[in-house]
Amino acid sequence: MGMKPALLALALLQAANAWGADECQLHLSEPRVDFGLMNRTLALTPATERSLGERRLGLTLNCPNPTDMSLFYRAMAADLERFAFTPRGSYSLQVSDALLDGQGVELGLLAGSGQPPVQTATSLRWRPEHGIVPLRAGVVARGRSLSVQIQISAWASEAASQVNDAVTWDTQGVFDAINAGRSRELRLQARFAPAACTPSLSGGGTVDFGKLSVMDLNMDKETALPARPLIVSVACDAPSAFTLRLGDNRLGSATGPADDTLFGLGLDARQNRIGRYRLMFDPTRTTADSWPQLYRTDSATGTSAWSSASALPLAIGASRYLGFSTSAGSTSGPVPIKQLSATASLEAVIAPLGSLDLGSEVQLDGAATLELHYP
Amino acid sequence: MNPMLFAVLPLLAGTAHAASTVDLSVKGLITPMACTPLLSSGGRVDFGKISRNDLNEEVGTRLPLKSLTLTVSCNAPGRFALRMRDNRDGTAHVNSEIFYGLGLDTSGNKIGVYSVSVDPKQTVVDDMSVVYGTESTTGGVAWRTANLNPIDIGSRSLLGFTNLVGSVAGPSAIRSLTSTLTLEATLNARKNLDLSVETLMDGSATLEVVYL
Repeated sequence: MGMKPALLALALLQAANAWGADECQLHLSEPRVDFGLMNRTLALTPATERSLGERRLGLTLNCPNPTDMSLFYRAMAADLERFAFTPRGSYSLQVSDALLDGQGVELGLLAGSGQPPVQTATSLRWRPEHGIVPLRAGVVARGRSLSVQIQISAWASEAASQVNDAVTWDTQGVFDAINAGRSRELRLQARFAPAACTPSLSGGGTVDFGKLSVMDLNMDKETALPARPLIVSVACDAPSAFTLRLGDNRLGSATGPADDTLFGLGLDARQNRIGRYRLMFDPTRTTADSWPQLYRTDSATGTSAWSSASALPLAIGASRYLGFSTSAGSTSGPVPIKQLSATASLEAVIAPLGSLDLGSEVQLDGAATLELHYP
Repeated sequence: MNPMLFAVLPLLAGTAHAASTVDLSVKGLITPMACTPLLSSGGRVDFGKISRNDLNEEVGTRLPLKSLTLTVSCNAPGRFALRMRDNRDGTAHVNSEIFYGLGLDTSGNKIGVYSVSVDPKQTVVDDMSVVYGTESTTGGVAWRTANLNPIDIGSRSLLGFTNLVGSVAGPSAIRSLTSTLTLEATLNARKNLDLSVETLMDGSATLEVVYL
C-alpha cells in the first residue's frame, strides 16, 4: 500500500511523455489477425471461393487538439471491393460503430484526402484506395477521439486447395491517419493444413512370387504368372477428393510395348529385361465410405479434363491421375472420400526364358511408388 | 549473393511437389532348379462301384485305404516342399485344409472328402538313413520340429523332409524322393445324399512342388 502513490506518479509521467504537446495516438486492438488453420478437407462442395471466417478489431485515434480524423488503409487491392490476401485470396474491411468524442457519428468514404465523401453510412465497406472520415450532419467533423469497429472477412480461392503442403498466408496493410501524422500496421495470417490422406498397401507393399522354377516358365514365349491381389487403402482425416498415380522406380526395364502402365521387373546379370507387371484397379472391387458403387475416372493433369467415370477396370500409370466418382458417366472428377479400399490385381509377365541369362538365379525386382495427390 | 539464392530455390521447389506416397515392391526368384513330381497310376485312384447298401445311413462311411507312390526328381539337390490344391474346392463337407472334396451329387449334395497322408517312415530320400517330416503354416517362414509322424498334405501348409531329427530349420536339400502316400476317403452319410441315380465320385487335386 505504501508504494501506490509512487506508482501513480510514474504512470502520469509516462503518459505525459507519450502524448507530448500535440501528438496523436493511433491504436489497434489487435495488430495481428490470425484466421487460423484451415483444413482443406472441409471444402466438400466445389465453389469458386470459400470463406476463411471473420475477425473484429477496434481502432482508436486520439489527439490532444481537435483534428481532421481522416483515415486511409494502404494495402494491395484485389478488386474494387477487396484487398489481396496473396494472389489466391482476398479480404474486405467493413467499418462501423464510429464514436467521435463519445458521440455516435456517421462515416464518409473518401476517394482522396480533402475530397467530399463519395458515400455516407453508419456502416460502410472500406474500399481499396479509399479513406474514411467521421461526419456530423453530412459534414466532415473534427474531434479529439475517434473509435471505430472493423470487421475483416477473408476468402480463399478454390485454387488455394491445390497446395499439397502446409502453407502460411501472410499479408499486411497500414492504417494511416494522414492529418494526425500517425500510422499502424495490420498483419493478416491464415494457415493451410498439409495433406490429410494417407495411402497404404497390403503386405507392407511387397508382392512376392516366391521361387519360380524354370520348369514352370516358358522357354520361347512369355509366361503370365497368376495374378496377385494387392489392397490399396487410403485413409483421410475427413472426406477429401484425391487421385492416385504409380511411378516406376525401375523405369526402362519393362518388357513389351512402351506403355506407362507397364512396370519393369528389373534386369538380370546380363542386363536383359526380366519382365513386366501392371496394377489393375477394378471399381467393382473398390469400396469407399457408404457408397454403393464406385466408378473410376482419370485425367492427364489431375485437375481437369476428367474421363467419363466408368466401372471398367483400369491399369494405373505414371502419366494419368486415377480418381473415383460415385456416378457413372460423370466428368466432374473425383468425389470426396474418407476411407477407400481397392482390391487391385497385380499381373506379372515373365520374359521368355530363352531371352534371360539363367546361369544363376534371376531376381525379380520391381519397385514403384504410389503417390496420392489432391486435385 | 547468388549462391544463397540458389540454395533457397530448390527448397521451395521441393515443397511444392511433395505428396503422400507409399512404396510397392514386386519380388520373386527364377531358379534353375526343376523338380518333377510323379504319382503312380498317373495319379488316378479308383474305388470302383460302391453299393448304396454299404453306406451308413446316419454317419459317414470310411472307404478302404488306397496307396499311391510319389516320386520327386530334381535336376540338382535343392530345398522344396509339397502342397496340394483342391480342384473341387468347396465340395468337401468338412472344412479343413487337409480335406479335399469328392464333388457333388445330382442334387448338389457334397459326396464326401478325402485326405492324403505322407509317412516319413515310408519315405526314401537320396542317401538319408532316416527321413523326418516337418511342416510350415507360415509359407516357409517357420517350420515345426522334425519328427517321424505321418503328415496329411494341406492346401495351405507346406510339407517338407529333412535328415535332422528335431530340426526347426525346415527341409534339407533333396535331389530325389520316393514315398508312399495313403489316401483315405469318407463318404457323406446316406441320409445326406441323393443316391436315386449312379453318383460319380469326382475328386481332383494338384500336388505342387514349392521351391524354397
